[in-house]
Amino acid sequence: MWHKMLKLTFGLTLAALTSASTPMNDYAVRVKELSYRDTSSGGLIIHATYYKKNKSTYKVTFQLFHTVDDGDSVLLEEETFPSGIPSDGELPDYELKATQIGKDNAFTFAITTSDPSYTSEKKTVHYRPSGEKYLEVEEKHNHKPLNSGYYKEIYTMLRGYEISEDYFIFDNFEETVVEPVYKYFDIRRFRFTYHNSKGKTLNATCRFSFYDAFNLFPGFPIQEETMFRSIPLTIYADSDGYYHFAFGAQLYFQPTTYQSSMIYEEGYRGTSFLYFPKRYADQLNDINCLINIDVDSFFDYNISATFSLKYEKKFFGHCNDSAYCIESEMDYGNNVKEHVYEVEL
Amino acid sequence: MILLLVAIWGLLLGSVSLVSSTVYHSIDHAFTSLNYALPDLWVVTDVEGELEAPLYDTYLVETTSIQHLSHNLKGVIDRYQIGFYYFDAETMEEVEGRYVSGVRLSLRAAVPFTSDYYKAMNYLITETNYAE
Repeated sequence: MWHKMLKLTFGLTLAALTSASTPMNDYAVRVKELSYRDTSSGGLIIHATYYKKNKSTYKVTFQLFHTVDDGDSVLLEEETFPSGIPSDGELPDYELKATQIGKDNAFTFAITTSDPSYTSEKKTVHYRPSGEKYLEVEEKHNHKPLNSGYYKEIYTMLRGYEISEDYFIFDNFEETVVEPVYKYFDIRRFRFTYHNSKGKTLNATCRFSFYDAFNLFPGFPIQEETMFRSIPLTIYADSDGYYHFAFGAQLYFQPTTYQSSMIYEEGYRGTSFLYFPKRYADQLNDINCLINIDVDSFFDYNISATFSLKYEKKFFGHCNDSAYCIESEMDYGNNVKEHVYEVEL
Repeated sequence: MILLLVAIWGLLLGSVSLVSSTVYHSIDHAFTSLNYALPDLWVVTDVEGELEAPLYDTYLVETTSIQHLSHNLKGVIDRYQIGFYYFDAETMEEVEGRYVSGVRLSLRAAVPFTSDYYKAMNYLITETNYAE
């Protein structure tokens, strides 16, 4: 969570600075260009091109490395041509996220060949911080809990002089969610709006978790330590511009027991809802739930909402606490056409 | 001597009456306790739509009722006759098909030394005031 202001000093050294090996005119293949450019989300795009100097049919391998703060080099990309390169070319652009960028970065484009008459070539570009420009991440919100019924969360993110702001308004995330009857839970009931100052669309990974105290939902993955079961969520927008959640995995339920599962079994039906098993309305009338939203924005951050799930009435049960019940009465008539079974014991 | 015969006759009659009464009550208990199984026999036919009224699954009603009675009456009687009649709980008119809102169950069984056991019960799925 970005719950405090972070300040990281950044400097920009825009030129390619060094070449780690001595160039030789005899290379079969040479580095043409190694450069980077900023992305709108605060990252960098690394661009590496090469050209064919001499004809060679030996194996050529191109590698792009990233070294952060004098740490280990991480291989970003690799491309191999077993029979030499046919012509000039380039590696696919590599996008480095803002969170991957350190105070001191080195990008190295290395070319190696199996041709014994040539040596390998390596070129490095540095991207270093200076004190003149800075990266600032700031989170602002109105300090109301997400469950207060109305919530506005603003993430302000600055990198250099760029400002990106995410605005969320959660307007029906309540502390206690009350469904009318004990039958199933429809996750689509929640809605929120999202706006980014740079016009970015929402990119987030979400999941719904619930506490299975009585082990009544064995068809869902569980975290053993917490007894919370999880279902992935997707996000969709309605015609009014609100975002909603939907279960991101196919759910199933047994139509006579209402046993629910993410795994299909014979006799189960597909559903968009999380069904609750019959007979357990009393045990399941206060379920601890959690919605987790991992936002992939200018920087990655997390929003979570906890709530208690309750029901006003049972769907079926006693007439004084259920939406439907059974009324029984003696029947003294006997002139109906019954389906009659003779049963021998 | 006469008094002894009368006493034996009385004891015999008493025993027969006790047996009949015990069998009768066992059958009645098995039949009336079916209402504890019935609340689990509902289904909703279109589960993805609006909150639909639950209905009895007639297959479940018949198999569950026969299993329940057979389990409880084994060793009490040799055979019984169970009848099912399905109707609409609002109109009370007969309905055919897999799903219904009302079922009439009737049970007939021979009881030794007395008249047959016979009882019929209607079980109607109804909407409570809450759901209106």
